[in-house]
Amino acid sequence: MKEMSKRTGVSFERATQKAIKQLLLIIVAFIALYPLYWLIITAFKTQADYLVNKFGLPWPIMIGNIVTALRGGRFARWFLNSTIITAGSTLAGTTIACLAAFAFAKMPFRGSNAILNFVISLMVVPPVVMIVPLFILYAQIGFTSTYQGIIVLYVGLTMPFSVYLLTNFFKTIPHDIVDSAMMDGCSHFGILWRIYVPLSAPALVTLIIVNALWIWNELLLALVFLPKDKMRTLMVGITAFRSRLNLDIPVTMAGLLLSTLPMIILYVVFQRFFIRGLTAGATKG
Amino acid sequence: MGLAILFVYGYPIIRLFDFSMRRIRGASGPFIGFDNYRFVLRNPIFQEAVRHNLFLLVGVPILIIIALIFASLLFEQLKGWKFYRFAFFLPYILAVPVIGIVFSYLLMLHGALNETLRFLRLDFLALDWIGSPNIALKTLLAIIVWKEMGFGIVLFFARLMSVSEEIYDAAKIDGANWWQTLWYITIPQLQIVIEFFAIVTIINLLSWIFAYVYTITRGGPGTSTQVMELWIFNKVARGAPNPGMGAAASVILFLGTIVLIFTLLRLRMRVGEEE
Amino acid sequence: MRKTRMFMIFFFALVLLFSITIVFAGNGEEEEGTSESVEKGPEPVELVFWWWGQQEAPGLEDWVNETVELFEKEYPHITVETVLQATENVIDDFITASAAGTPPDLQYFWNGIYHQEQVWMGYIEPLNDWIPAEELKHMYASELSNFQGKQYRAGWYLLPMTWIYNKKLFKEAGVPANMTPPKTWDEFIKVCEMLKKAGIIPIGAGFKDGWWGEHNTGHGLVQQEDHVADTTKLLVGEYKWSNPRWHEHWKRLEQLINADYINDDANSLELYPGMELLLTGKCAMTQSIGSYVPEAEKQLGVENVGVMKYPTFGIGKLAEMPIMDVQGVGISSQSKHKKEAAEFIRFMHRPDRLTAMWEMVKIFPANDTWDGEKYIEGPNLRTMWTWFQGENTAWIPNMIAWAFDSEVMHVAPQMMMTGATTDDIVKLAEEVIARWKEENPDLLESHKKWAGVK
Repeated sequence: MKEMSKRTGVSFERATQKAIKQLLLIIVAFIALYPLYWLIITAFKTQADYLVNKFGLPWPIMIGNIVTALRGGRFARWFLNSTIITAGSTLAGTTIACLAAFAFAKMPFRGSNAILNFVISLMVVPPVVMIVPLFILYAQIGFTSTYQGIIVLYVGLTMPFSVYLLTNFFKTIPHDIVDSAMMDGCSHFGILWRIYVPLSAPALVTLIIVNALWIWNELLLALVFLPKDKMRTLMVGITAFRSRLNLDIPVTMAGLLLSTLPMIILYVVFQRFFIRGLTAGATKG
Repeated sequence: MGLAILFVYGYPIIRLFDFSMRRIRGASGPFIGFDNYRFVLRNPIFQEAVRHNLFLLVGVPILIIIALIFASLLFEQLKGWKFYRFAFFLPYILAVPVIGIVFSYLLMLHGALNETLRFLRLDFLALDWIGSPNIALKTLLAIIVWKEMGFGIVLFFARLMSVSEEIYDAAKIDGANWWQTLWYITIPQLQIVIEFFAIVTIINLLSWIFAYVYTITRGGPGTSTQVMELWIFNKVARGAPNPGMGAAASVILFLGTIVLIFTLLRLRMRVGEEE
Repeated sequence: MRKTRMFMIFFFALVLLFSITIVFAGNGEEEEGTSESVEKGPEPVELVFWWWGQQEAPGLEDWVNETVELFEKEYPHITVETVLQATENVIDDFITASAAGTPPDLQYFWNGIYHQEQVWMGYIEPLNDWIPAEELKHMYASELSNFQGKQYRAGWYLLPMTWIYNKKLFKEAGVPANMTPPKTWDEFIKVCEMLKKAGIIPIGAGFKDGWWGEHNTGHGLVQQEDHVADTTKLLVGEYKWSNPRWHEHWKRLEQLINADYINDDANSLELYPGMELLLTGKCAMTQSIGSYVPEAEKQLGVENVGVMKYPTFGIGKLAEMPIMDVQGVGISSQSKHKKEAAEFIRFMHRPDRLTAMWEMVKIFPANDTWDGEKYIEGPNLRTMWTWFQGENTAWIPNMIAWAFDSEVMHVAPQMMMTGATTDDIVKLAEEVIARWKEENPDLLESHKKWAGVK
């Protein structure tokens, strides 16, 4: 009898503990998801509905907001700019980082370690400090409001992290493979291309995701270095979108939703890579 | 790589020091020694901005604690843990301008949050979240924590998954409760990741929060959410031709960040040696 | 592993797609270039024109494009490349481009200090040498465009600075006809009280982005001035903000805030969302710009909208005057084609182009030879047009250094909303001025020269 009550006591305690934990998880998950949920429901409200009903479900459901947000082709233009810049910077950055990391990992020379450490330490440089000098330089060489101008900046800014991540990964690839490939008469580039790149595909995917995410979402540099209206990126566009004469909040939300949708879709589909990618730096190091 | 790095970092940093010694008008100007530094350091708004940046560092322990608790909860792999992981991480992938704008609507005095609170008869909680100077900075911090916590949780969780289960099994057999497990096993196991996360977060809170402030409060009300980045930005913005002072403030921010990070790393190394 | 491969394929497909897009986009632009550069007649000239007015005057882009098209038809050897810049383009790229030796030939400028600093750096060409005096004097750019006897901008379109009110709400609150709209401060307070009693927000405002505070100074401080140069005297320290005359406008604002005549969420709204309270019938009055009036009329009905001057409390000679600001265009001092650039400005001011500006964009062209009476319809718009033709005064925030804008004028209403008093603002103003003077000795001198102040 006594034995039994004790057992139920323990399991009761454990059950409550579990329930509390579940509750905690649910609450935080709710907080984490709510703003996005709110963004989505608001994007489908009419302005009149929004003004009286700020947190309820939309009724009637208004698809027109998205159409309105897209009107005039400005949005499409921003989208194209963001895509070109993100794709260009990611591609160029990853390629350069591959070469550099290969050199650091497999062809060490005197002082290469010091250089590597220096490059990595550049991660702490705040981007805002580089604005003034670079802006003047850019005006002098005609780089403001150009794709190549901003791409160079993004490549440079993502370089420390990319090199750091890839060097660590390349170091885990055994040296024997390289030696035997060398014997077979493979060039350095051949080794990089035929052995390292395929072997480190997961790390590369990770890197591409991290950089693409950062560049897509970046505001400050895009704001400063792309002054031409035609050259604006999505993030700059939507920031301005709101403060102007456009006071229809649901339309603004529709615009925000569209601009963040690509990343959400990528995240939902490739969740594993996102999570691994953004945490790889730490677990490897 | 060398070229890109020199171009993006080397040149600007050298020019930065040069600019900070001049009264810049256009692309250059007369040399005025350390005057710009004096102007920046005595400026009460800049001082306030520095204090705000330092206040925001409170976010570091908060984020670490939240991440620890939820990473270990996830690690228990309760029902639905994959969904929770998905949910916690979602804010991290959203763009700051997007969430900045969403929050500034949510948190308006007559925004959705306060309407909800009023609906629940919790009127006393319906504060002017971003319109009141006493609260605005804390609101900003809460939003940053909201966005960054997913990174910490997933980071710690990933590390926990690579810890051998035997340690945890042993703890269970010894009858350790949840807190003891967290304190004696989880935290020591996570030490390196916690350090990494702390450093990344410090860098973020000192010099990567421009987009939050710019889209949510623009430094206001009054100067209650001014931060160094925004101050520098305002010194180089249209109509304010004093990039020299902006450059001096940039040097201060730059050196400050480096000194702080390297002190921390040194500290860590010394602790490491003693162990 | 399968997913990895899938991702890689997906990614490279994307990259490929966009590389193709870039190539095509690039080609497209080049083609445009080559087809236009076919030589005709005299030495071909290419003018570059940077501007950013589209954001505050939606539709202006169409007018600019049409103007360029007609201009190129008339001057076949000249091509004009217009580049629409973003307003929130935060660093003045005209300054940096000028410093780098790569400025455009023509540049859109805001009034006053927003182009005078460039004038002082020698980056803008005086127009007097290039446009006949007889024409230039009609291209109204306000006195704030002059420096030491030369005019540096030609006006483009006018911005009447006005208050707007909702006649229907006035009636609902029982405001008598002789106080619709209120003209003196006492009337104003009475009207606010009536509106408040009737459950209507008297004044709609958004302080968050700071511009409202600047507008408040523009409407309020000017009433105490005898001449706009008084603003400069305050800036350079000849007059003191501690003198009650010069901070009265903040006292009045404090009164409005403390009496709850302004919406309680002003600190979480920006300028335009604050104005929008008028459009949605939530508030009865708001400070605004003339170009916003047609929008208000569309939403509330012409018969329900009125324009009014900020009620008078001031004792200066300018107290009763309507306020007129103006956006304009200037020529770079480094332009190689100043003659052609001036030609383009003159073309912008041809009567048919001025009329087209009104018809396409519904903004007032900044030229006093244009026959507005003939085209402008509706009582409010006609009223504002008479402001331009009669005596008016400039928008004085345009005379103040940016440091003072952002550190004092912008934050004053935000601070008052949360308990600061006029005395706090005055103290802040004096401190900011003192610092600004020490930090910018050269600008201080230029400001004095500009306003003709010793």
